[in-house]
Amino acid sequence: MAAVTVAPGGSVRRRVSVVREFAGISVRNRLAVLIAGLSVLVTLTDAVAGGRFPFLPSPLAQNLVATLAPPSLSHPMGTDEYGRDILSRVLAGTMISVEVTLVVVILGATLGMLIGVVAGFFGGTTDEVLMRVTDMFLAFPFLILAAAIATAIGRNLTATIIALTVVEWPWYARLARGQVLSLREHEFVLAARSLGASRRRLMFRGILPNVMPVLITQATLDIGYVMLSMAGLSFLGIGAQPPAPEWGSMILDALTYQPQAWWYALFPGLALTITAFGFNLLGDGLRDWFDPTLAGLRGDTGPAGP
Amino acid sequence: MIAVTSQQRGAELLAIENLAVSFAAGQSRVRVIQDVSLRVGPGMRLGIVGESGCGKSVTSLAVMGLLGRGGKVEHGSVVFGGRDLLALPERQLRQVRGREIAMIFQDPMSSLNPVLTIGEQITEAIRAHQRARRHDANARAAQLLQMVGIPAGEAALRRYPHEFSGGMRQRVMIATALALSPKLLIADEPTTALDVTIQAQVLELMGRLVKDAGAALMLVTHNLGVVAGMTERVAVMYAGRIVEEASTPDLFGRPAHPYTVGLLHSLPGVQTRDSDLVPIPGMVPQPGHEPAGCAFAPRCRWRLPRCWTEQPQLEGVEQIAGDQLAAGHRVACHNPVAPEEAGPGFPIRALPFVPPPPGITDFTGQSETAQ
Amino acid sequence: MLRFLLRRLAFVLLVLFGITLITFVLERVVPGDPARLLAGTRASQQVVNQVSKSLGLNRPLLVQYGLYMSDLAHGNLGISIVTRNPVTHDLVQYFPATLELIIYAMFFGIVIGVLIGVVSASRGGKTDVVGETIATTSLSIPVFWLAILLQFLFYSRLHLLPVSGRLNPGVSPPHTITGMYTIDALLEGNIPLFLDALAHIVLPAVSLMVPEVGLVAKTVRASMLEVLGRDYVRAAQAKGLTRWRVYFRHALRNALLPAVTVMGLEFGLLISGTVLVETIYSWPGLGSYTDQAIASSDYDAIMGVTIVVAVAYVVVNMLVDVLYAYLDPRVRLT
Repeated sequence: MAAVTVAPGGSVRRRVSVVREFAGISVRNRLAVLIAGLSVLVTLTDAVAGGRFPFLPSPLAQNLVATLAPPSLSHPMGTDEYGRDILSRVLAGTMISVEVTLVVVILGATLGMLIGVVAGFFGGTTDEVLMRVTDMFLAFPFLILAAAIATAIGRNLTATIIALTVVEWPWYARLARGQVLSLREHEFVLAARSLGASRRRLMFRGILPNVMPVLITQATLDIGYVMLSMAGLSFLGIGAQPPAPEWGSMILDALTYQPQAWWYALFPGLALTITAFGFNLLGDGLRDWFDPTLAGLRGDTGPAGP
Repeated sequence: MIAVTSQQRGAELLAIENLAVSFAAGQSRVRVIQDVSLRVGPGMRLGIVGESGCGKSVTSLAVMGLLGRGGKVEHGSVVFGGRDLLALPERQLRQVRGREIAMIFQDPMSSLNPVLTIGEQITEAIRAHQRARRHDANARAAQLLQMVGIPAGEAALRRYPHEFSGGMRQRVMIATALALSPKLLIADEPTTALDVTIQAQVLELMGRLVKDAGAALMLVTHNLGVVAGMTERVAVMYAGRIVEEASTPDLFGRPAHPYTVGLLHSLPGVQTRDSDLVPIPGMVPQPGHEPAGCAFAPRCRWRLPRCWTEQPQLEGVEQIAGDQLAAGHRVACHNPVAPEEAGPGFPIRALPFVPPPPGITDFTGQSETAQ
Repeated sequence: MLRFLLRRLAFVLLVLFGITLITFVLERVVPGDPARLLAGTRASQQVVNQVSKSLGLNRPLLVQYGLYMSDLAHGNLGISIVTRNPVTHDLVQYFPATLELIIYAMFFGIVIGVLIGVVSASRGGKTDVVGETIATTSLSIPVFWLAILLQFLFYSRLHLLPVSGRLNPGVSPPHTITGMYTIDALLEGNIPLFLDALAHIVLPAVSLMVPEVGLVAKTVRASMLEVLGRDYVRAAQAKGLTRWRVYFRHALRNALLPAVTVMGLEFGLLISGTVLVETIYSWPGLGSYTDQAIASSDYDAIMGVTIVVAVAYVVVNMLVDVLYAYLDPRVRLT
């Protein structure tokens, strides 16, 4: 919503909406704002999860008198089959989802990056072997492999994290290796080598800083997908175990009470969608920032050349 | 007003009048070319030269209506065959493209579609404008390939662009462009992406074929050497405007704009006298950041105080410092170069140093004291 | 072309070998007590010991792997605890339903995704923002939640579509030609049966294809944007070709190439999706079989599905590579 106001003297000023303004801030500032926002969110949900938040009951507090109650003033999202307040559970679940997802993505990306960079940098047999191993893991559809691993290791959150990380890293390994390979031939690398730079220096100063942006962008884009996968695993019964208020397992529990207790499945799923959407937007924004050609034909760029 | 010679009057093929084009830059628009007026007669060869960013390509794209989404014609007209191309609806403009005006681009690597055979790309141009059966179109395409010196006509039609070298690809582009015998060929930096040895071949071919077809040529390039051999008239562009326009011998023999003089002196082998290479100090201003007045002023050694404030108009000048100029020689300058100054490349007359207004950097390297 | 195929084939074989290795590790090496896991939590110690012996768990790992491979070669994937059938038998039985679902989801997902991507890239401006938002939302919705929502909306509230099984209860399936009820019903000329099967497949297919639409739309949009800025598009316009021709013959043909490479990934997404979605619709396919197996820790079944799916995935990816090579002459001839 933009409102146009006329200031005295006849000049016209436009009051832009908050979103427009936010979009206008430089990326660095936006990142700071987002991190601040996330920190606030994390602190809040942590409080909720611990039952310390003033207005909301603990996500674990059962109330067998008010089971499966539809949304009301006292329970804005209704209650589940144990009378637990769904709003508290949904908020508390944010912690679990975001935490696990970030851990998985960071671990997976780091591991993948290391393997990929080593493979690309050293080439030869190391490259061949590492890439074959990577390909073997890539041969499995994501969820199937994660489910198999989690079943083999055990049904708990740690197993899920391991399973998801094992499935994540191959993508980053391939990505990183591809980057390294194309960078290796770039002039600046050849120039540095001709100046006698050591391999280690080359790796850390030259190659890694150029590999990082692509990986970071990809990782941010991945967060949404990993979050949904994690919820999917919980929905299958692997992953977070009751009574943990994880969104995916909440939907699983809700399944039994469909379609009567429609609120039970609705809100955790909504939370999942919104959170994943937010991270996807962030990832898109990051990617567009790095590669403006993807910003679209909005008339920002003219044809190349004079 | 433009001084029009008797040669140019009458059967004009293309008349660009006061063309101005802008591009979107963030929230605002930036003028990339201004006040561009050119005439091309039938069979005439016009060169447009300038550095990267001077607007020469934009001019040629504007003629074809190929500016893309960000570009907008702010005003002006492009009259071809009695019609203003800028006012034509897309459907009619499409009929002009390819058939009456054809264009070839700079990089033959990227101007040919990698997933289609060259035969398909030539014949589609033909069949877009004529009802031709595939067989006939292919035969014509093979004929065209032969004309441009690519052997094994029919078999070559089935090959893909990446199977050819850069020079051969450009020949294919020329063949495609001339397929329908257009009246005007616009060539935007046709040889810039090619090896030097191939450049001459391709240029020679292009020139010969254009002449044989009786077509006019508009050659856009930054290479003055190319222009010297291929054109009858040249227009020099700087920062989006035409700063000098004359017949080719006049431009090279008797340059009048300080920029032209500087250009001639900064290129090996094209100098008028035997002198050292002298680069023009400074840089071209960014579009949208041109100084008020003449855009070349910060780099110009002939400048007068009014150069900072008044935009010089492109007009025919009859004489400079007592020397007669050929009719049709236009310059946009408040203080054009005298003939005896063109050789050495710096002013001989006593000209006081004119400091720049605040906020503008002077590049000429002079100072108040040294004179 | 032949050499290309052979090279890919060799690569595929290597990867298949690796798959068996990984599943072997998962089945025998990783779990604390593989025999227990295979026998099930309720089996007595005797049964567990028996299983242990039959697995050769006391033999060296290499021998175990050899036995495992020979089992695989004979098509022996073990016995499902739940159905009491050989896993292979189960897989064959449940496969056609999933195949039909995936085919529908993939086809419509690609068509809709391409449409959104192309329109988004070529129109730009507000249309682009809308298109991108749709694509991002598609990628953010959990399929299992969507399935529940659709079920609620179209069945519980609107009573428009069925949500259980492939056909209405009591209706017998058509004569098996392809295994796909819709196609087979059509081939039989049985329109009411065709409509029934179609009605049953709509909601599961839609639930499944949503993330795919988002992925395809994004990929196509990105590559369209890149292609539209290319010189050959401008050169095509300069020839006076109609806008239609420029778009389809020149721009789209090149833009769709990268989209093809994403098809393998889509297939993986869809397979993962079936595990989450089929149960909700009581769709008798591999997905619900797997879901059930996971719920009851039916180890053999889980591993059986994993191997088979992985093999299928690898084969599909190889086919996609071949398709890409066919479409892009630059790859074909090197």
